[in-house]
Amino acid sequence: MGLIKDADLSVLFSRGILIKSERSKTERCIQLGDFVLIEGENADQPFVAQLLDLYEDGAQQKHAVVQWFTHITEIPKNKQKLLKRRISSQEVFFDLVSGYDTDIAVETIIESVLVIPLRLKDELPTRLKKEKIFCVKQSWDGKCFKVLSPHTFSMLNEANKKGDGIPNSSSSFVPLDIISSVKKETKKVAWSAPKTKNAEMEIESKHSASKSSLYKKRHSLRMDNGTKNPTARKKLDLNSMYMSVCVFCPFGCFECTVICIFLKDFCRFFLISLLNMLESKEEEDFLSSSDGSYSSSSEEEDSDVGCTPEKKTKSSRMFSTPKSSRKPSVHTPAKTPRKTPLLGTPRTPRNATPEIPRRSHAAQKPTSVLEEARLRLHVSAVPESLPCREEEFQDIYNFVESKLIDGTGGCMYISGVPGTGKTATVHEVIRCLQRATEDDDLPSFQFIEINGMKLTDPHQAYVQILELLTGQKVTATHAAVLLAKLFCTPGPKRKTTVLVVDELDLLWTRKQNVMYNLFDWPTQKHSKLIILAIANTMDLPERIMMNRVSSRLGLTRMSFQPYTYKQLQQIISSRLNSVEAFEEDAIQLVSRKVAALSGDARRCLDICRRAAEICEFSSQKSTQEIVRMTHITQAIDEMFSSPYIKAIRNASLHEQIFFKAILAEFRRAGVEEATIQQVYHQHISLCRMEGMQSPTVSDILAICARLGACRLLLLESSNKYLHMRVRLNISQDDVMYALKDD
Amino acid sequence: MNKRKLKESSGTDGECISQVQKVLRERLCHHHAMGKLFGMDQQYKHLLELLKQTAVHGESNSALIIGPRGSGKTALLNRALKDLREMKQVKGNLLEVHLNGLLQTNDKVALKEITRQLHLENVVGDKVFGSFAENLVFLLEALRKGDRTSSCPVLFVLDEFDLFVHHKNQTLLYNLFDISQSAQTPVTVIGLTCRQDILELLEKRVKSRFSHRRIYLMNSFAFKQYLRIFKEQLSLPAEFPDKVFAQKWNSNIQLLSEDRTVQDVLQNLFHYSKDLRSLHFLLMLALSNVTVRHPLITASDLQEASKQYRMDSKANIVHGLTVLEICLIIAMKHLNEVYEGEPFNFQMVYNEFQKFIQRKAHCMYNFEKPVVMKAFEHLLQLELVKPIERPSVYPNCPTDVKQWAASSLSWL
Repeated sequence: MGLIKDADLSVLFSRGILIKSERSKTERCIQLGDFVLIEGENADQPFVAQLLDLYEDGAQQKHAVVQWFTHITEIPKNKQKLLKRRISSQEVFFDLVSGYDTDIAVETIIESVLVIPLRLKDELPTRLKKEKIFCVKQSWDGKCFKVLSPHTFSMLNEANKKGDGIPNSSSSFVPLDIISSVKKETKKVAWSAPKTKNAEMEIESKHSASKSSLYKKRHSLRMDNGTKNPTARKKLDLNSMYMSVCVFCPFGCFECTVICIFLKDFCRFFLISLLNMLESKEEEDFLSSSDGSYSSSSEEEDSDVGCTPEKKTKSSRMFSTPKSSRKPSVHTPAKTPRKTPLLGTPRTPRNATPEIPRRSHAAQKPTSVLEEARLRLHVSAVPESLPCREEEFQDIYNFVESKLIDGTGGCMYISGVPGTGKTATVHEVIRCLQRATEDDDLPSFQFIEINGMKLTDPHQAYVQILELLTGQKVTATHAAVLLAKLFCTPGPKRKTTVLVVDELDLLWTRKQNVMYNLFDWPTQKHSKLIILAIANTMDLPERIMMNRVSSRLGLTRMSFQPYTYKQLQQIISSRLNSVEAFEEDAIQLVSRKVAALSGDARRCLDICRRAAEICEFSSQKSTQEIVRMTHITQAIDEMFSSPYIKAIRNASLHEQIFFKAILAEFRRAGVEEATIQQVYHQHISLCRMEGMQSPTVSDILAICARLGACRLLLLESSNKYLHMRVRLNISQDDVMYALKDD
Repeated sequence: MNKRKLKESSGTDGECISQVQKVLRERLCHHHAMGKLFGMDQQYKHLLELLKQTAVHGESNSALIIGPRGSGKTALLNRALKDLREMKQVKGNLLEVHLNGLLQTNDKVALKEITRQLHLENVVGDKVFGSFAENLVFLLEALRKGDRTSSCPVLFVLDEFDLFVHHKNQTLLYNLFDISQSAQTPVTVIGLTCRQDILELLEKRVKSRFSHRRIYLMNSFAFKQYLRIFKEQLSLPAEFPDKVFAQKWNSNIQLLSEDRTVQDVLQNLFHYSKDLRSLHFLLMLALSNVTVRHPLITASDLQEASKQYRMDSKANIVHGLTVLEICLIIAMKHLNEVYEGEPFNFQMVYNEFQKFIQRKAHCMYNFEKPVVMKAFEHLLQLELVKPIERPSVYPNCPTDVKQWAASSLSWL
């Protein structure tokens, strides 16, 4: 049907495209000015656009120039408020945002749709509510909404009229084979001059003169054929809506999407579209009768598909399981938009958002200064600003900002020991950037975050990224494919993505393909992906990454030094923020102590909190006390003192003698390891010296097991009985020191 | 008349005794439910305050309770929880999740258990839960949704905390501690463990997120307090129905605690082990001797119980051996002395035994070799003799050959 062979593609500018499915030999035609759906990041939400131009570049790449329409879901939440009215899901906005690429690859076009321009007060006619049809009332330029200019309005109307003229031409037939097959290869985009008008007319006339009994007979025959298969039968019983799918699949694979707009009654639509479909099928046969080979092959295809059970069961299952959105078939564009309204799929329970129940009593407000201080010092409290990380903050901010403005991608590696504010700083940067985009200083971006520790397996990273990005839930391998496609192909209309990867070292796998992919995507030309990778060790790229991975990570690195005592002091003071609960010296003591140990801000805050608690306990109710040095010292002792010495001092007498026996045996043998038998002899002689009753072997073994459970001793497995070897888990000096005072 | 009176009194006594048994057994066996706490007032206050902060103020926390086995970690926690639940501001305001390292052997199982205990599986209907990854995302999502002031605080109790440390990547611990350090649903994570080196086992990121609050239970009481605990554990409560009997019983306990032999028994036990569980076990043994005919615990009861409790297991086994088996053991002992602990075989033991029979024994029957062999095998079974592990004769035997050798059906 008007198909022009590749040889004729020399025409540089064409007036339309014909999308053809090879399997079913069906085509649909999209002309310039038509409205189309374009593959988005998420197959459930294709973009809407108007086709303005088609051309071919030197490298035989077919391009399309489009005018975008923005769906309400693409507009940031805070901007949606500007509209001050409820938006139906069918409404789109004439897109005037400058940032988006209007030049796209032709392959991403899915199908044609209808976009009706409306006045602001008009409503979409109710009969059109259910269909895949959009209306446009306003334009959107990234900052505010405007009413459509008369010129635009008339232009859109014009385009519509042209589209309306051929509502049931072959352009409205969606080849179903594309739907059932995942591979893109089955779909072939061919270029054509606009179809011959008379062919279209023929179809129309056929349509009006339908309802011949022959067709009906043939139809019922095919119905029988279709229902012979048990699986298909079952599906038919389940839901009559499935029928349209199950029955159509086997033979011919036509589906009418536009006609249904004009019919109110669904049943009637069903019947008529069925007839209509058969008609056009018949007509196709008729048309191609001149070309014998074509028609026969088409027939063969029909019968072939009709009687192959696997084929049918597959397609029917695809439509019936609510899980189907998780299958790879999701990505075939034509099906998804239609499927959801048609089947009314119950939302998968996976999407249910769980919640911890509310508390029954309101949380108490802090009553005293100390409680207030404790609350402010909690690590979870988000401070107004992050002191002492201004430089790092600025570096990261500048990095991300420049990439955002350029619309390119890049990686940055951030390292530092735990508790030095890496994640907090990155979050602060993102917050600031988001604020800047709200004020329209920066192009908007999408922020997603994954944490290696919150993944069960490195490959789950793909799944999480894809889900955060598009809301799809798929398996890890498929997610990797989808993401690669998303970031590596010249994507239409996509915001820059800022991806924070926390605990990067956990994403290590033997082949390192997760890390490789993560750092490879930003280097792709069209990825628009900015990665901020966070890990503990500075030399991680050199230590665990292969060369090809670390080279892609690049040299944009930053390391967070442990906090110095002055910085820690500043952090505490800024958190306390004029709450007079701590002595100045006390704060200094904590900061110096922690800075000397680890420089971990979390530890610092925890100590302060504990000190405030201790202070609260010790102070009398009446007098308001503030945290002093003694409280801090007590808290530090509590947190850092070694428990071993206290544990030995509080052990029972025989346990202590056992330690002495071990020390004696070690000294005798000169080896820091002994068997129970040897220690037992020492123990008995010690008991004799003290004039005590000597324990039995069972007693000794029990003592040994108890100390082993506390890990004061290291033991072999106990089935060796007297030959079990014993070792100390602490230094001999510590044991001696602990036992000396007695 | 007289007889009837006697019968009556014994009848009431019988009831009394069973009452006593019931009261005391409950106290000694369910030591974590309602028992008194000894020598841990400070720790109790600390823990209760910590839990109260979470329940009342919605403040997240984490803490470890560390102490040797039988030092009352669980008792302390249960007591604190019981008191907490009775508080007016807390009632029904705290979700509890109890996990045990021995039951939840990996994070997958643990996550399922958490979801179950939080009743979150209701959200997903009757659907069987998905993969481990989905589970984790689901739970984290749930906890992230909440905030300090409005969400119900969640208390995570991790018994045998040291076993959770061995889970892959310490994912569960990281996430729990991370939640406790970020502005999400308020949680308190309490770990119970007997290992003193627990902090060294935590991964550095996990360690940084842990608040380093440690509550130590050390059994740090002296013998005087131990004696008092003994008295209090055996005393009948004031609300005991038969007041007369209770008084008689309590005064007897008082006398016992002053008795020299009883003190010796207790001192011995105290020197051997300070934990209260062993004391409870001793008292249980003594208590089971109490009958209608023998209504009060005596010092000899305790002595007997102590003897029973601290019996040497191997010596006990030797008591039940035949003369021949004893002879073999003696032969082995001599061999051990002669060859300085070198291993020996049956023939050597048999020869030693034969020497003894021929030279000295006049009343000993000369058993045939198979009989001696049988006796020797019995000793092996009792594990009084142990075969030495010897490196395999054919060192580099392929695994499948080994399996083939082990079973004639292995190829199936």
